[in-house]
Amino acid sequence: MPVDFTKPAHILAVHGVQTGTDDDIDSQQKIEKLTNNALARSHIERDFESIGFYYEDINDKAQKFYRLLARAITRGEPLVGAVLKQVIDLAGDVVTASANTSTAKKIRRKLAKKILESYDSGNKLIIVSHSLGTVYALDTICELINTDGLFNGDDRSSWPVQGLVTMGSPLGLDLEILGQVVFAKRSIAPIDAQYQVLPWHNFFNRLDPIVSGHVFGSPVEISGSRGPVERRYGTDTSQSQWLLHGHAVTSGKQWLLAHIAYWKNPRIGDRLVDMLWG
Amino acid sequence: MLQRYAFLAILIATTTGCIGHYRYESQGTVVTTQGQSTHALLYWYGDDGRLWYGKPYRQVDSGISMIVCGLPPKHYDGGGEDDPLVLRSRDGDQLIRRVTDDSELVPIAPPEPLAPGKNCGEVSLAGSGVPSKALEPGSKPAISVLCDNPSKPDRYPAAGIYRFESINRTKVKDNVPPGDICTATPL
Repeated sequence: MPVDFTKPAHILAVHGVQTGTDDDIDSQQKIEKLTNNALARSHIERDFESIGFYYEDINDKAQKFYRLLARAITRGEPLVGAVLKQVIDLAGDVVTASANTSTAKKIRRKLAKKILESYDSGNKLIIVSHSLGTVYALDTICELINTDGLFNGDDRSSWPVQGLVTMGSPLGLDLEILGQVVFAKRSIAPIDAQYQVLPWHNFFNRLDPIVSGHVFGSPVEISGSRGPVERRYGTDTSQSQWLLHGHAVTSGKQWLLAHIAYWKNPRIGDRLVDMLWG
Repeated sequence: MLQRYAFLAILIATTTGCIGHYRYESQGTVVTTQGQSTHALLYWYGDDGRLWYGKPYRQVDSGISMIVCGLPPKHYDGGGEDDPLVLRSRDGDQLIRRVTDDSELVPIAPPEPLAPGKNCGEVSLAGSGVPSKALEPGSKPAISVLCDNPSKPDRYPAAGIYRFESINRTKVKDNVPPGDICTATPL
């Protein structure tokens, strides 16, 4: 069903690296609050629905063997065991995504299904993604662009995703660890449109180590609003009917606290309102 | 669950820094396409202080937001290091004004259709377009709006140059949003 722009908008939140299970994740509530606060700040009322996409349980299932192994080798040492469990949980998520394992493919299929649920009900959708979730969001959108019957030229009602917001994205990292390329450069799928463009707003904090790749949190070099993601994807997006905007933001936080502060940034909430109803 | 919190507590304890966080604001009035004057607020954030290992650090948001009572927010975004903050065009926008060297607005006839993402206005100080880092407390910015959109008659602000009051800088904890735009005293 083509997008009916008079229907309430959908905002799909895609979380990043997590510990715990799907039930522990509150990205949907965070994005709903951010959007509602922005609407209230401008004293406007609009109908929308925030939706969460969760994949931590899929990751956990894939990591089950390593968890059991960790438990076995740390038996009798609960503290070491707990730390190792967290490390496996966090690092496992990153390896799954960067190595494009079958688990990563399963996550993208599930995300595509979630996106198409909104499309099939005719609701306009934008995706707000954080951290590792930005990798899944970008890859899945590119797969949908390459799917027959979707993103038909300038007919915007055939676009299941109307915009992408990424926060604290590792997509700009160009790292090689132990011979493994981490977050290899993605191929941006071109949209066969003449006038319409897919907006991609990328928010980053210079002190966010997931953005910079600097373990101790030293600031990443930027030029105005152009950070690592814009340097890496600026040309490709402009040649593919995507419109990538970089946004350096601040939060007064450093290191990993800078990485989780995006969810509460009112200016990002204002941007969502502008993207949907401006 | 306790283990998760302990893990997070260790992370937080190791990331305590001494950066001051500030909200910048400037108030003004803009005119809607229906000709109604309405109070507007430009705001953005910045960090100023030292990193956890002592190195001086200063960074402001690369763009600024404008909120207006009863209407969706607008944004003036930065480009390269010294590029001025720009209001980006949307689908269907057309350029209807240009700014002369004397900071006067003159009509463009016929209007020029713009592709999305082009320059529909900018933020200036003393007539020159500036990036966000040039917007210091005490300075008085102006914003220009150079486009309209025939398919969106409620697009705002109307084309024009709008001068704002002196920029205030307030130290804030976290990204505390500005106060209520609708109850603020119009200038």
